[in-house]
Amino acid sequence: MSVNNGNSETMLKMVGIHKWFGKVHVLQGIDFEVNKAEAVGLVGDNGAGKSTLIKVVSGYHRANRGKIFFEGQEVKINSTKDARALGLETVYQEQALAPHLSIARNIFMGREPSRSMGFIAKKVMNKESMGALTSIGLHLRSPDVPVSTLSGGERQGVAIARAIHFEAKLVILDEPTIALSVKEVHEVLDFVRELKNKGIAVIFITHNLHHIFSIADRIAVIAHGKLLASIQTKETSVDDVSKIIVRGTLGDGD
Amino acid sequence: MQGKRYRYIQWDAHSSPIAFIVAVLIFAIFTPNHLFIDPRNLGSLAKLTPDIGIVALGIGILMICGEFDLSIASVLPFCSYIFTMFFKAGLNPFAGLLLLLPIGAVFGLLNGIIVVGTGLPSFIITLSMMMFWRGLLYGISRMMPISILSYVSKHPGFEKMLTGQLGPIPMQIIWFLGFAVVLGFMLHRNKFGNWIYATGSNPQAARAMGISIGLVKTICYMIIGALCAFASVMQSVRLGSFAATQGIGFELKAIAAVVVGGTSLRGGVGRMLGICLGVFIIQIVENGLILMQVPVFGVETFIGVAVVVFVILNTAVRRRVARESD
Amino acid sequence: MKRTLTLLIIISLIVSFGLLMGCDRKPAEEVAAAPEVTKPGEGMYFRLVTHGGDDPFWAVVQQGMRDAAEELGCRADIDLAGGDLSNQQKKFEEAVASKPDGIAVVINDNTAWDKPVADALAAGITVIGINNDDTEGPAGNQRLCYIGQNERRAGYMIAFKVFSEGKAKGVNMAKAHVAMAAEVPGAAYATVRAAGVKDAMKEFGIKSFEMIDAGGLEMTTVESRQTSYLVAHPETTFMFGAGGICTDRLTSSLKNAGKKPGEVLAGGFDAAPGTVEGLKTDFLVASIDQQQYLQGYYAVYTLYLYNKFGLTPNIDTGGYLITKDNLGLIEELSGTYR
Repeated sequence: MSVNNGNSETMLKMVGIHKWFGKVHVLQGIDFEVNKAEAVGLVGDNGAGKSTLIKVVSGYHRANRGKIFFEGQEVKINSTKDARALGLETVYQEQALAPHLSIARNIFMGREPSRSMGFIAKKVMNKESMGALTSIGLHLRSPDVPVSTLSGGERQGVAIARAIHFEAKLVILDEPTIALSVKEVHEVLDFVRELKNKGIAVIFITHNLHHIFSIADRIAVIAHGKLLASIQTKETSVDDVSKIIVRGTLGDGD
Repeated sequence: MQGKRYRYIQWDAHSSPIAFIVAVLIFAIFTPNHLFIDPRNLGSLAKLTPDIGIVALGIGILMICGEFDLSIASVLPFCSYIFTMFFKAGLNPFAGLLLLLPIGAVFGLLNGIIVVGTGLPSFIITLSMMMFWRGLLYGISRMMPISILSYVSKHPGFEKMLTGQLGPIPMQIIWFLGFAVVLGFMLHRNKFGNWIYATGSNPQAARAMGISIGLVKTICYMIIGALCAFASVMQSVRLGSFAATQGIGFELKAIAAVVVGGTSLRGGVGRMLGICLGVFIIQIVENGLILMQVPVFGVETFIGVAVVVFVILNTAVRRRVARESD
Repeated sequence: MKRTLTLLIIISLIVSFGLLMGCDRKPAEEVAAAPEVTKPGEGMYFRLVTHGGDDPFWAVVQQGMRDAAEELGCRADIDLAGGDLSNQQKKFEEAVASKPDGIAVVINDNTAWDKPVADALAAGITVIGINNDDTEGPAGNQRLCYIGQNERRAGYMIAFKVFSEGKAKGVNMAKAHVAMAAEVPGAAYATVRAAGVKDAMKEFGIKSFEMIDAGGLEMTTVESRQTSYLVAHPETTFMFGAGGICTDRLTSSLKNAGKKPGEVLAGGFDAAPGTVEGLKTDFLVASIDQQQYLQGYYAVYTLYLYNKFGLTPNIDTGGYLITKDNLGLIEELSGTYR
C-alpha cells in the first residue's frame, strides 16, 4: 500500500510488525517505509498506534512479530542502544531533556566524552555542543545554562541537535510542536528542514496537519495498528487527509 | 533575556555558601565572649560533625538521583557491631575496616535491589529496612554496649588515623573533606555524576538515552552503605565502644542538612559544596544556640525553625527562576 | 517480576521475625527439659509488663528474670512496650487475659494504671509493681507490693556523693552551679532523679540548677550538646548525667571542653564503657548502678512466693554507688548482670 519516489533508496522498511501489550493488540501487522532524505508525516487518530510504532523503531519497545530492514539489511532492534547504534535517533515528546542539566550535559547524556576513569572532557563537550546547535541554525549563548531556562522551541532545538550530532541517519520526532507558540513552531519546523537538507530521513508524528504539510514529503495514515494510506503531500490536501483519518478507510475523497 | 535568567540560577546555586557565612558571622558575633570561635568549640565541631557528615554526603548524592535512604540510622550501628565482633575475634582493625566497607555496601545493595525491583517509594522501603535492621541488631546485641577500648589501645596507629589530630585539626574533619572531594569529583566531573543528575532530573530521558537508572540508584545506595561502615568505625573508636543507639535520628537530620544545603527533595538539584555546608549549618545552629544560652527546651524548636527558613529561602529562589524562564 | 520480589520480601520478613521471636523464647523452653528433680516453681507462668526496649538496662532485667525462672523451674515472659504507654496497657490486658500466675508491671503513671491493676486483682490475678511506682505508693495504686529502685533516692545518693567530694575540696557551695544532662528531659526518670539531686542541693546550700536537653539517645548528638553547654557555661561546678548515655559521654564532653579531671565534679548512672573509663581516669566521681538485675530476679521470686505463702515484700533494689575503688567487679560483669 505504499507510493514512493522511485529513484530514492529505502532507508527503513518495517514488514508485518505486531505488538501486544497484555491482551491489547496495538500494532496489527503494520508495514511502513521511509526513504533516504524523505520526511514522512505519521498521522492517525488517538490509539491508532503511532507512538507505539515509533517506540518500536527507536528500540524503547520490542516488536512481538515482524521484520525490520535498515539500509537494506535485516536488523534486530532490542534496545534504545541498538537503535542509536544504527543511526536511529528519537526526539521524544516532553521527555527528551533533563531540565536541571545544562545544554551540553543534555546533548551528551549517556554518551559523555571522557578521558580516563570516566572523567568528562568538558571543553570537548562544550565545543561540540555549540557546534551541534549552530548546525541546525540554533544560536545560544552558552552550553552551560540549564535547559529549563530555554524556551520551548529552543528546547526542541537542543533535542534535535542532539539527534543529528550523533550522526543520525533517521530522526524520529514525536509531537515536536505540541504546546509551542506560533513563533516556536516555526523555529522547530526550520530545524527539521535543516535535517532534510543534510540528507537525514525524518519521521514526524503530529496531530496538527498544517504543520506536517509544510515539511513532509509524504503522509502515512495509521488506523487500528495498520497502515491505512500513504500519499505524497503534493497530491493531497489537509481536508482530504482529515477525511481519511476520520473515516478510517482508503480511497475516499482523493 | 537569557542572561538575566542565567544570573538567577547562579544565585540559587550559591545560596548555601552565603547562608553558611551568615550563620558563622551571627554566632561568632553574638555568642557571649565570642565563644563560637573559641578553639575548643571549633575543635569539637570539627571532631563530631563528620560522624553524620560523612553519611550525609551519600544521602545528598542519592537525593540528587531522586531517592531516599532512611535505613542509615540502623545500618550504621549494625556495621559498628560487626566491626566490634571482628575486633573481638582478634582481626587486625585495618583489615577489619577494609572488610567492613564492602559489607556496608551490601546493605546498600539490598536497599537498591528492593527499591529498584519493586518500584515502590524508597522512603517507605528504606524506613522498613531501618526498622528491620534495628530490630535484628537489638535482638542480637541485647542492646548492651560493648567496650572496645582494650582492643583499640593495642593499635594506636589505627586510633590516630581515625580520631587523632593533625596539628590543631582533628582527623575526622580531614576524612570528611577527603570523602567530600572524591565524591564531589565523581558528582560534578565524572560521567557517572551526570547520570546521577539525569536520573533525578528526568528518569525517562535518562532511560531513553541508554542510562540504566536502576544501576545508578543501586550504586548510590552502595556508596551510602560503605560510608556508613566507615563512619561507624570512626565513631566507635572515638566512643570507645559499640552502642546500639549509635546513629539514631541520623536519617532525618541528614535529610534536613542536605536540604538546607540546597538539595531538592524531588531530585535533579544539588551540589557537593551545598551538601557539605548544609551539614555544617545545621550543626552550627545547634551548637551556636546552646552557646547563646537559649532555654533548654527551646533548642529543638529553633533548629526546626532554622531548617524551615533555609528551605523556604532555597525554594523561593528556585520558584523565582522558574517564573522568569517561562 | 515486581510482584514476586515483593512477595519474597514479605515472606523473608515474616520468617526472620518468627526466628527472632523463637530466639527469645528458647531459654524458657530449655527450662522445660530440666532434670528429673522437680523444681519448686514448676508449672507456674509469670509475666513482666514493662515500658522498656530502647535501653541496655532492660537486657539485664531480662537476665535476672530468666535466671530466677530457671532456678525455680517456672516460665516467665517479658513485654517491652518501647516507651509507649498505650501499647504497654494493651500488653497488660493481653497478659491478664492469658491468666498467668502473676504479673509484674511497671507503674510509670499515677493514674493510668489504677483501674487496670484494680480490675486485674478483682479478677483474681496477682499484680505487683516493679522498676517504677505510683508516686503515692500503695495509696495511689492497688498493686500488692513494689520491687525497684527509688529514683528520687538514687538521684539524691549520687548528688550527695559528688557534693561531698566538692565540699572536701573546698568548693564554694553558695556560688556553685549544677547542670544535669538528660536524654529526654521531660521523661519521668529525668524529672524524678533531678528532684533527688535538688534534695541534695538543699542540704549543701547550692541554689543554681539547670537541666540540659542532650537531644535523645544518639551518642554523638549527646556529646556535642554537652560539650557546647560546658563551653558556654564555665561557671559549671557539678555535672550529672540523668541516664546511662549522658553519663557515658560526660567524660569525652569534659575533655572536649578542655576540662581537667576534677575541674568539674561529675557523676551519673549505669556503668557503660565510657562511664567506666571516666571513673578510672577521675573525670567521674561515682555512678549509680541500678541493680536492675534484681528487679527481674526478685519480681519472679516474689510472685512465686506470693503464690506459695501469700508474701508481699516491698524490696528496694537500691542504688549501688560505683566508684573507682569498687570498679573491678562491675567491669567484669558489665553487660550481663550489671
